[in-house]
Amino acid sequence: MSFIQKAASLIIGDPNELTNIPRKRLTNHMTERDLIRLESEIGAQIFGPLPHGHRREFFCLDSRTWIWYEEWTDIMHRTQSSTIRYEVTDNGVLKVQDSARYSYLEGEEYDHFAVAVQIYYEHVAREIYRRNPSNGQRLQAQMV
Amino acid sequence: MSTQSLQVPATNNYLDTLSGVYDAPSSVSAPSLPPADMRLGYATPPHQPHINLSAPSFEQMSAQQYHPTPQHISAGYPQHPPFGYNTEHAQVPTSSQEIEMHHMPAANREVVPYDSYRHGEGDQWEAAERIARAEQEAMSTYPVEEKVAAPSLEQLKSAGEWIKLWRQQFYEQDPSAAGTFNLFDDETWGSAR
Repeated sequence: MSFIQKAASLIIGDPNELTNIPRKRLTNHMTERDLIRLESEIGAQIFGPLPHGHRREFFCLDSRTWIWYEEWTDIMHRTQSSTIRYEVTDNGVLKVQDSARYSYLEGEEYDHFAVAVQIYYEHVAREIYRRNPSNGQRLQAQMV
Repeated sequence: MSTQSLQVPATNNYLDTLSGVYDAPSSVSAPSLPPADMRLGYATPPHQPHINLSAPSFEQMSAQQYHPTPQHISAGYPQHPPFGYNTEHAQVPTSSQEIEMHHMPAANREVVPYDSYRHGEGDQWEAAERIARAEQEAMSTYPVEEKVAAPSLEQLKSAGEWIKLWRQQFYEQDPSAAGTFNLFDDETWGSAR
């Protein structure tokens, strides 16, 4: 590294740090999985702070399916997890808990889920896809 | 002109009755409402993830703009967004129409002639800049309404369809990147599983 490069690095930091950013997140070649991960980072924040040692995912799996995943360590230091699948059907929102229990959301539980979906939609539209959630148009295109 | 989107109570009373607390794994049922300061970005969450920094830039995204086609619509793709949709926002305004920035805090809302917004000069240009700044602010500060109305089933369906649609624009030009998302794939959850 030349003297000028060293001096510059003192001022602007290590330029190599820029290359440490996963390139996949900087390109258009993102898979569905990559996008879901990004969305889930937002989804996990919707419900407030996580209890210590917990990990949460909340994301739209496909157009009719939403996933809530929670992972934690129990008092025996064993990893536990719970997965809830919400299926938006013509008859309501079917909750499938750990692939065993089935029930339709009702009342307050439905409201919670529906509001969470709305918040998720609003945030994902703006923060990942740069869309105006009210009309689907690209946000910055409106400012041209 | 009204919008149904982002209807959030102005007070915490509603939250007091609806918000739940995660206490035990067995109690995981429906998602509880987030705290007031996290809802709809009303205030910046204390641990906001670096989504804005790491998500693709506008320039990167614009290379793969999605242009809805009749094929998409006939294939069951959504025709309009689920929340706050109205016909006046569904098309580009004409020169005689006005743009009202609904998705802004009420204090920042302005109505300007479309021509000045697009081709403004002088004072008009300043107005356009104010709109642009307000829109930027709206990216992180969402409007608050006084009434809460849970989205309908149809809105939930539409929301999922729109999200799916937006995802597709990222990988539809690279078919090899698309694929079925396997929830239980180890790679999905990393080493935690």
